[in-house]
Amino acid sequence: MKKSKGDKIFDICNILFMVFFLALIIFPLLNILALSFNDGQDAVRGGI
Amino acid sequence: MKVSFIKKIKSQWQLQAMIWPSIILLIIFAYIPMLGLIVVFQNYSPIEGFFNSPFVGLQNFQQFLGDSQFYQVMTNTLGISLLKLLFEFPGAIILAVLINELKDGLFKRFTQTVSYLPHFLAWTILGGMVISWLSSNGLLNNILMGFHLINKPILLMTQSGAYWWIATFSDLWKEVGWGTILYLAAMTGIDPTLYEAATVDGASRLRRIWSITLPGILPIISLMFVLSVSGIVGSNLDQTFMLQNTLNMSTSEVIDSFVYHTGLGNGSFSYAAAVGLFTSFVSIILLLLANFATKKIGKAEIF
Repeated sequence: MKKSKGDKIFDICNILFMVFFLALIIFPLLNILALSFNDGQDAVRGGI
Repeated sequence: MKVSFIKKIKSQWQLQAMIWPSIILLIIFAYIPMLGLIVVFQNYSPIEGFFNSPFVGLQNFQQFLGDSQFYQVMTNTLGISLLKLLFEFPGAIILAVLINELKDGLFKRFTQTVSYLPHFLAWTILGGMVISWLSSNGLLNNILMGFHLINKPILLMTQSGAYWWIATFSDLWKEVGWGTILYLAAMTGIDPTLYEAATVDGASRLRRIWSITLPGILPIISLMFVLSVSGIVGSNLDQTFMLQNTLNMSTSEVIDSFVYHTGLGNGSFSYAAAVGLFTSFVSIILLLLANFATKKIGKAEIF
């Protein structure tokens, strides 16, 4: 069935939102993972 | 009549055998301890025991209803719970709808799995993570300073005004993905021919969502609503313990943590028990009200 233009826009927005949502979840988790692998002094210095 | 009742139980003996251990457990650990509520009317001391502690009637109740700290604690509890309800309840539904609209495939399954992950982090762990993210060297401040939105780091964990929002959004982050499960399951039960008919009639995506998906999961939504409302005077003790500190205590002390601090901390067992009983009582009233409300609206109700 042919998708209308409105449908396509909805799909694009939905996927963009999902990517944002995924980033929101994964990014902090990766941050903690990185901190835990690094030396304690690196974490205090910041910039990870 | 009596004979056929016993016969009925006998014929179901396998089911009965499965359920009776649980019922006995419930009676021993949940119902019989309720007799301990007698301490609410006493000035209980563990040395005197149940039968020798002086009887003080409703003094405990008078005491906490006159305690200004109790009102602060009540405000915190209700405020945080309502804020969580406001964001998590629609949040889970909207997210479920959006996930449902994704095309079946790797991305959809990947997104769902990732969204469930934070639920499995215990607050003992997540609390430490949140504190680290909000610290002066943490993720939030790094991002904000990187975009030059602020010049100096903001220490949200030290500001009492921020606590309600920190509690709400960290809980949202943790639970919103998990909360979609129930709604997604309900959505699979919607007749697909309805969607096809709607599309043939020219309904747009949003229209289909509004008129087919949402009404299709309305019974589940009502059920979850009733359950959530009855939990308003409750709170997540794990989260509170982990995120609380002396600087935000004025907005982070909720009923459960207050009961813990006064009861086990100060040894005022009766006071704490009275507060706890009062809270349970309010919960039941809210449950009945919410159930009544959903019954009136005409959709599913619990009883």
